[in-house]
Amino acid sequence: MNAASWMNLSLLIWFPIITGIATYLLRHVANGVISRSVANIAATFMLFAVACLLYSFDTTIAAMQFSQRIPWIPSFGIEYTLGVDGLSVLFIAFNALITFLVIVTRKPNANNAYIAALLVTSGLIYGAFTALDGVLFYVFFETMLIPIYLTIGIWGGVNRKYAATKFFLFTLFGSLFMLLALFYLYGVSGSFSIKDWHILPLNIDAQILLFIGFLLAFAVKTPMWPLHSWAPDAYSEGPTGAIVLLSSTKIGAYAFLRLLLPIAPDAVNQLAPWMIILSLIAVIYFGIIALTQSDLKRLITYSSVAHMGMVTLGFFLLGDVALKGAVILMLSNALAAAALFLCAGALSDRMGSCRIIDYQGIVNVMPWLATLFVFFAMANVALPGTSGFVGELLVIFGAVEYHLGVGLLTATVLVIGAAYTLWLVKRVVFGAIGNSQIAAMKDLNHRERFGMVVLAVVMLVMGIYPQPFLALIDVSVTDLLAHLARTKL
Amino acid sequence: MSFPFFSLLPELTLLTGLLLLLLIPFFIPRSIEGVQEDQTCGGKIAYIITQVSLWLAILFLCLQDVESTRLAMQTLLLRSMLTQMLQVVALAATSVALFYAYGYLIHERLLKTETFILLFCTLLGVMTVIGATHFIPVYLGIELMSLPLYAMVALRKEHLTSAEASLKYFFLGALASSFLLYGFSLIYGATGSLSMLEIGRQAISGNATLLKIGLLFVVAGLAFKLSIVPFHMWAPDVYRGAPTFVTAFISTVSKLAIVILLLRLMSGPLVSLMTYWQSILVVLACLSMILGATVAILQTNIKRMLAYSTIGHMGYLLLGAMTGDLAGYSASLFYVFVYAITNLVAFGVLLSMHVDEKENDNLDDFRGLYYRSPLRALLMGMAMFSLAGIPPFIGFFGKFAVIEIAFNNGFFWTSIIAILTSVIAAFYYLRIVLLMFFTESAMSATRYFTRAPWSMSLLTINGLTLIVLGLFPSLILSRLVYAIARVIVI
Repeated sequence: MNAASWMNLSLLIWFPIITGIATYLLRHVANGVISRSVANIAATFMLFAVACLLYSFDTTIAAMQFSQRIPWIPSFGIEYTLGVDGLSVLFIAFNALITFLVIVTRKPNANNAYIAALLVTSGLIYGAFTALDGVLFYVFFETMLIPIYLTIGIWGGVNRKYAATKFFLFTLFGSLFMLLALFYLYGVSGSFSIKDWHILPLNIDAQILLFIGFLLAFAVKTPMWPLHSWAPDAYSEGPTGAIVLLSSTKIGAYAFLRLLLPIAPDAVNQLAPWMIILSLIAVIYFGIIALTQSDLKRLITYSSVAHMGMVTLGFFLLGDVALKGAVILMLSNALAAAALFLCAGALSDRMGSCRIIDYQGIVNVMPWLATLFVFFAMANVALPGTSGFVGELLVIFGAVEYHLGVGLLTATVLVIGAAYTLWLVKRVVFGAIGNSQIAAMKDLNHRERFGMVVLAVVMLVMGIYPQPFLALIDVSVTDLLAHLARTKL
Repeated sequence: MSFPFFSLLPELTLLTGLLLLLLIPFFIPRSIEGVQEDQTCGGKIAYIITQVSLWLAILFLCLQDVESTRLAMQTLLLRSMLTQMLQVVALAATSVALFYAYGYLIHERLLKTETFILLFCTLLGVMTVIGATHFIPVYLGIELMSLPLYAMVALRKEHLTSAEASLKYFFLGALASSFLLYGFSLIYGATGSLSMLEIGRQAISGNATLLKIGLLFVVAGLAFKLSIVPFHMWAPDVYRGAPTFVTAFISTVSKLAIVILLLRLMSGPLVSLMTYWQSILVVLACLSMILGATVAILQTNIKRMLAYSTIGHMGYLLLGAMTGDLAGYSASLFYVFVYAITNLVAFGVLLSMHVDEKENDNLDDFRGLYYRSPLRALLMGMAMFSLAGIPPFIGFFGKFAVIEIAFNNGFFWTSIIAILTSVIAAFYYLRIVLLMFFTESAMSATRYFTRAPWSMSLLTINGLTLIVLGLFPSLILSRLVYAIARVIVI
């Protein structure tokens, strides 16, 4: 292992959490100036730290890098184990980028407690992406609920209480089944190490039960059909920063790759057709639902979960091309959803409403927003040259390889996606100025523009020159596929 | 045989404190010219005596050599690392609850000598039950613990709800005690002994039917004290009617003593009936978890809600106990510790919200609490998340320990019920958080709280322990596992 020894993953997790707590405690000191600077410095520092991580990351090995291992709860054999591989490294990078953008480009009057909650959430996300111990992962996965619940509930829209509670209970319901799965694995193996579980022989019945346990947790979090109903509420009611962070954190989908696929490969092979059906339902059903939405944020949510349906489809096609495509698509959707929610947030900040019907012809008053919005919409429908294109193309290739019918159904996403996205653009961006409120709206200010332009650049780079991104995930994905091909019976 | 002075030093300290308290009225007249002098001067002295003797007793407990298990008083009492831990926790929890309650006691005019006299009697009972290895001291201890509690529930003489609660508690408690006594006598009939150390040896050859019926009665009696369904009826009314300080005591300290007694009975004398135990406890655990989670949703008073929450938690606690091995017992004991620490925070906040005889114990009193008193809301929020079993709070590892043990001992469906009920329970714990953080305060809401900076700082420390222990549960867990592994008789 030639990873630089000074790179410490614990720093990645605990630095934002501690600075987040400091931001909260100092929120009233000196009018909150100290608190705001602490948050800014923390977000910038994290971006720098993750850049160093990427720089010293070795793309040629599939093993875990920057590993740390300390006994934590000896009576249960629980260890504090961290590590990064090709599957998680890009999520970590994106988390750093999105956190940085959300915090640095926040509204000047944003509450410091809210910023603190975002920082803590960001730290917990790093934790979930680096944890290699089942319980540690669960703790990060679950602790994340608290700050997100509070941000949605305190700073959210009219229906925030309902949305926050629903979000919390849905996720808790799913993850407790994952906890049972972890208990089962502990009972069989006597350890909570995820790496040990990867090579643990299990009979097919056990694998199917584990599959169901994990699936319930990750299907809620991803979200997959039919456990998605918390998502439109949470995303449409939550404050912009929190939902940008939440929607760009593909922790549920990542957990499929880290836990479900490698631990129960035989069950995966056996149940893959069912999962493909569920994913296809998600892709088509959510696409059609998105067409009917009258709320901007709800439409973006459905578009995002429809794309996540394609991601899970890519996972369970179990082919090299499809899996790589799914990972790329997941990353690109993280950016696209974040960017579209930023646009929606910028609009609703000015208008105070998210109803599509309230907007018309913003291109006349907000050229910057209109340009970026159209660009992100194009990325969302996977226009060649944007990041989404590579991912969707690879998944559709994989689907056609698997079965022509599946391939055809998958490809409908291109049509439906284009339909709701272009129609949205037509209704919101183009046309004559709809009403006097729109006429009075000001274009993006510096900080908003900065956030969106950075996202647009990353999306363009990923679309035009995806090689560096593919290189990061390549070895790990190949390793995962080789692992899936071996039986554990 | 000499008197085991040093073994009994903690109990003797409490007894001395009790006698001192009894002397106070002789020196400080009860009332002068109608002014309740006792409330201010005598009460304060009694409060100080109580705290000092509690901490002296804790000191003496900690000084005891517990590396090896010892028996005292002709094998009637047990002295082990485990009993020491439990006794220290019981006394410390009482002392902490007293710190929180200082302002409350003054407001409710309960800072009187008799409050503390009753408290000391109860504590002596708790100490006895935790150490007892013989049915006679067990029964004496339980009665010594319960009778003063009935009176403490009714300390506020002018409150009708208190009187009703006390009466209810008394009648049902007396019934439970008689169950217990009857069970003991049946076990005596089957084995010819009252000593737990002896019964274990005789139980195999004894009359199995008699033993089983006896066990059933004992379980019923203990289930009443633990407020386990279907013996829970008293809990909501007593929790609501009792002064909050007494509620806190009932829901934490008294549970500790009964739990260890239950585990001692299961592991030692009646271990031969393990399958029989298990079938009873599974049913009781499931009923408690389901009822505790569902009925709590309907409550509008936080003390009643916490009563149902206790009922649910006692169900989770049985999950560990019913597996019948050391790992299960340590999980159960860990759970009861976790539960006690968390409940102390919740009741501490409740006690600190009490102003001028207004209880502030309706859910509506929590509306917008965060905007009136952020610290109280944060502490209450932590307690609620911990009771709901959400990491990083210690409540998560409590649930983790018991459900893991139950699951890996083959109680699959019970674990599923445990998980589903904890989602339902999370709903009503979240409702408190929701009221505190997500709603505006009502105009009539109180803006003044009990002023007691030192008790608030203690409460903050207590709240932080929920996180610290949640991040490092081994601080308690490994000690507990170590202590349990070293004892022959739990």
